[in-house]
Amino acid sequence: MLQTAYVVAALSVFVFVMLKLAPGDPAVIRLGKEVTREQIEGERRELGLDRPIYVQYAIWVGNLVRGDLGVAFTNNQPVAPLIVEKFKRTVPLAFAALIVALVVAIPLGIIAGIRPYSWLDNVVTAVSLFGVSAPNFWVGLMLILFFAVRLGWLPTSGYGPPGEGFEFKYLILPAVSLGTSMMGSLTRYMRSGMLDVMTSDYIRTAHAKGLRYRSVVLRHGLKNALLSVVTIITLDIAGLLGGAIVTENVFRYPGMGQMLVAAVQARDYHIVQAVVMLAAVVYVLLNLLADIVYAYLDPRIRYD
Amino acid sequence: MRKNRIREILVGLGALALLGTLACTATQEVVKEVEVEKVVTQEVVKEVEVEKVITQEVIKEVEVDRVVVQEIEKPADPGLLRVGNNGDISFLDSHRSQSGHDVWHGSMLFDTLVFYDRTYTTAIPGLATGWTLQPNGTTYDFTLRQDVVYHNGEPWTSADRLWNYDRCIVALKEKSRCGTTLLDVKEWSAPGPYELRLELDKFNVVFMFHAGNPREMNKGNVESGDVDTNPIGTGAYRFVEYIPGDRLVMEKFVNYWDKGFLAIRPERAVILPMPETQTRIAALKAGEIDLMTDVPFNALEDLDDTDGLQLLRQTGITMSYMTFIMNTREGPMADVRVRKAMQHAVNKEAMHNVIWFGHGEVDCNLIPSKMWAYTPITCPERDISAAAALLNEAGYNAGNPLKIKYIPEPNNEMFVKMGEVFKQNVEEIDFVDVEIEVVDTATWLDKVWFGVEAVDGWPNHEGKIIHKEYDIGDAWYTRWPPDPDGLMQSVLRAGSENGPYLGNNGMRYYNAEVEELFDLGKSTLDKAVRKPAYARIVDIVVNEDVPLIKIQSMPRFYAANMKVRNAPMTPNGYLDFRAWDYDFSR
Repeated sequence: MLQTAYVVAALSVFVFVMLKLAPGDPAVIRLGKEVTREQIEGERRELGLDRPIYVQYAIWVGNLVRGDLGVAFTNNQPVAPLIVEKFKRTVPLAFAALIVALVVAIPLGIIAGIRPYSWLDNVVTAVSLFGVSAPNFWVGLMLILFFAVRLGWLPTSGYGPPGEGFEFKYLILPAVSLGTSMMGSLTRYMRSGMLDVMTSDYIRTAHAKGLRYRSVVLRHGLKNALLSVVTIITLDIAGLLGGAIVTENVFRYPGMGQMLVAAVQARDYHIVQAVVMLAAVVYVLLNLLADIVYAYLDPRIRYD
Repeated sequence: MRKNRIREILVGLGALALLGTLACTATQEVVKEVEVEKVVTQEVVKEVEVEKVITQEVIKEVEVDRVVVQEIEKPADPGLLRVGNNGDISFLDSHRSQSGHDVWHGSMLFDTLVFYDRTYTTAIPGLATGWTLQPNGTTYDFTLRQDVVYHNGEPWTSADRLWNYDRCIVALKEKSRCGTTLLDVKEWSAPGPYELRLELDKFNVVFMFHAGNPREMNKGNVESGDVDTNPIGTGAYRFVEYIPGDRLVMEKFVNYWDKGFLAIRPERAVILPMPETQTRIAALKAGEIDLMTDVPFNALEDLDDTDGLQLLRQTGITMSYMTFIMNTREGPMADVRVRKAMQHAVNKEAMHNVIWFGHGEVDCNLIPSKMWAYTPITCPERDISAAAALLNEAGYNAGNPLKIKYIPEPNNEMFVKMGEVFKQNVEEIDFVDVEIEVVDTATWLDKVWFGVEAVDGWPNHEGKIIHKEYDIGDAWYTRWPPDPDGLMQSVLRAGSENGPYLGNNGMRYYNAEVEELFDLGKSTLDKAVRKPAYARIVDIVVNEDVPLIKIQSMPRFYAANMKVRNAPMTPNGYLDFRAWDYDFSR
């Protein structure tokens, strides 16, 4: 855990410095094009951007310790409630996409793994390659055009009816769009894991013992093949919780990704720093979870 | 044992699914509760409105811009207006607003001292019921409306108005452009609770176009800091909710002073930021929004042909024009011969057809043909040989090729296309090479618009050396007021060779004669004096100095369903919120 704290602290310094080194000035973006240099300087003073970088960092850390993430440069909105609001929206999307991906990827991966180089494997390979290679925005737009505009079954975008709260049907298309690319890679990993496992000695032994084929695949094969998949899932979820940038933009889903892109473009240091910190913590926690799941899946793994 | 482990895995996966579902369901429950509250509140609001409509019959005031509205007046049925906007707002605080995205809530939440008639050339009563210009030509006396209250119930008086001037012209002077249109206002005072006097330092022919500013905000709301989360104004709508990146919700303000205006407006308005163009179009076609902003030119035909949708277009003067701007102080474009060569090399007609699909009016004259000050001029023709000859004269040839850095404005693919056509056009000259560098907004502001302090560059009026990295860029100017001064002055003026350059003068252009002509044009109402002054400015820009190349006028388009009616557009391309109305029957 101490190591984790070091990583997070180092990351915060790195991101802070990189943002400052990038061209562009938040004061300028905040004021717009039609201002004078004097107004820009005044705004920089107001925002504290005229101070040395280490002073700015120290102030930011001091505020962070007190739970104050500051206000967004771009619109003066308090950052902490903003992050909470966006995170609350990103979590259902991330998990819904994961479910979509797992529901398709695991059965397909198993089928392809136990029948390698068959026509079934070829079909699965084609499907998974489509998932991996089709650009997210294209899949999203196609889903919108077909299911929302043409058939009218689902809403095109948003999080709920305009001006109101969340509705489940608004989650379906972005989840499918996001889940499609995850499904592609997970299917490939699942297939590869199953291929490895199904040619191993203990599987041959299980067959020799006369166990039913289904039992060999699901009890003995699947569990071991899942080890690599768990790693990928962990990384994918962590990435998604940091924001599914393209999908959120196409579906106007107001989550972390959409906010992060806007904040980076506007050099909104307060928001970017807060999101990076949150993403780092989520990463660490999910890695911890992955370690625990490894131990469940493989009895040989023990953390003393 | 193994069976148990498999079960544990399945339970783990199930838990993940459950967690996602619970997160959704929990939010739904909260939303349902909020919805119930909203329904109850709406019922109360409806009752109050019935009373207001009755009262309105007694106290109805007839105003210039109300006449048309009264003819089509209908009972105020509940309605929802959903706007798909091409970006998110910048500030709820209207004094700090700096982008076109702030126009919606700016005009709905906050009133101004005057409004404009549908020709957009004459001021009509707003928060001020009348005004007079004293014979000295610099003193304006306004009579203020007495039945105005803020959304929090506080009455509005001249003291509030004075505070708004204090904030914009003094307190925010170095932090916002709020006061920049009021630079001529030297003193503001209140002879009575509903009287206001403004003293200008000199006569300004376009002052009444700016007299509405600043928008009326509430002192207590601003000083408490609540303005950034719950802004209060005197406008026809009151603030309900803003979630950045998601929505801005406003609802009718039942105590609004203009009951006739209120009666034909939707109960609620929701502004939805939808930066992705295809998403906006899909949402409009699917009936999820009523109106979309910034229709791309390649989608105009499709939307126009779609049943149940209409295109909203500018019919009057368009104060919007597309240009190539040039870095007149550094690099190859500092040489006027090179700038003139660019003007000869650009194929405006090709751009007009390929990028804007024939919409807009190709011209080199900055003044639009529908404006009274328009004087036709002969534009330099496309002539590659002439361009090459000018470049040769400037010292460029096969042995000394001309390298041009083109940095398009970000966030609109149209600008990149312009760069591509420009590159193709100019590279028809063998020894010219154009590099297009695509950057994000923050970087563009540094490299093109404001520049950065550097060792090499051009000194500004403070003695700082400012370097701009671009040679050529693009600028889509959309100006207010609809007067030749408003159209051009912030683009072409500067205090001296070294600035300060006005807000839209990214070229760092200065010409003493141009400055004098602008001063002359602004000092009189006599169009016989003004028109030749502006014609001369155009002539200098097109034929002598060429700091920019106007390609064409840029009409704006919105698309809407049939709920939106009578939606005129202002000359600077915004829907006139005061003028359009809403069909509740659809």
